[in-house]
Amino acid sequence: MTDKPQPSPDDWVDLYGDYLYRYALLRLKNPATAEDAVQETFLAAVKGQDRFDGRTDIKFWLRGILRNKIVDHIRKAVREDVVEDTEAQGILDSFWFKHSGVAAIRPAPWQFDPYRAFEKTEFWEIFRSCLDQLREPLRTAFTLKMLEDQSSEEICKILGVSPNNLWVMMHRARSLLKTCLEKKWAKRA
Amino acid sequence: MLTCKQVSRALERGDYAKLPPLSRLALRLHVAMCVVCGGYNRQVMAFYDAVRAFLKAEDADLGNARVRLPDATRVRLKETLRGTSPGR
Repeated sequence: MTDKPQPSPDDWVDLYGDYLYRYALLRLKNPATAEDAVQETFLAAVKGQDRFDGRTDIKFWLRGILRNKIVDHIRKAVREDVVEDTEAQGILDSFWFKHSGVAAIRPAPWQFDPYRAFEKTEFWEIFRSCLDQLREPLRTAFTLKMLEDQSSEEICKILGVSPNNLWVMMHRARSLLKTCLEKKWAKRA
Repeated sequence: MLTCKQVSRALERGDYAKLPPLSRLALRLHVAMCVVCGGYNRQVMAFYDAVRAFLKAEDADLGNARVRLPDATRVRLKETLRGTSPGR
């Protein structure tokens, strides 16, 4: 079954507890919820260890389970407070959106070269802080879509929004992130 | 030939870098040349690129020990796991 000996469940907490906890904390932001997600992950993994096929490192198998638990926690935490958004409706009703699937107002070019910034460690600290500053439900939408790779259908179900509404949320999230990144990256320089 | 709407939909579905090489090339070509959706979709692509690099940086950072699972939780978790049998 396995190519190399894998640690036994008795050692999982010591070996992977910190890693999984840090991951959960980054996504869920709440230490108690992050601990719950880690506990649920270990329990599910112990119960389902015969499903582990040994093809990946057990750490990544556990992380895969954790990611599902994180999405479950987000699903439980989402408040149904999606507001009617008249400005968004304007974008969605426009000829431009219907024709091309993009907003009519073009994004301004980046004020710095993002691809060069990707090479710098500080850029990711700024990216993280800008992401954390996004208002809800934009942060959750962006996290689920971009970081946790959930399908749009699934996110629409979780957030209780239409596909068009999700599209507007992602558009807003990107615009706000870009503004924040430009401001903070310029200030640093 | 892809339409702008097809390109936007494809980018909305997920990371374009995970598409088969030919589909990826078709998207990139459209976005590079198109005056209607190019500017917009280039930015969407930049965000996918950014997130991919961010996740890589984040994963490297997860290995450092600044934040640790609290000791009490660690002990509690070990006890819980000892009392849990596989396959139930």
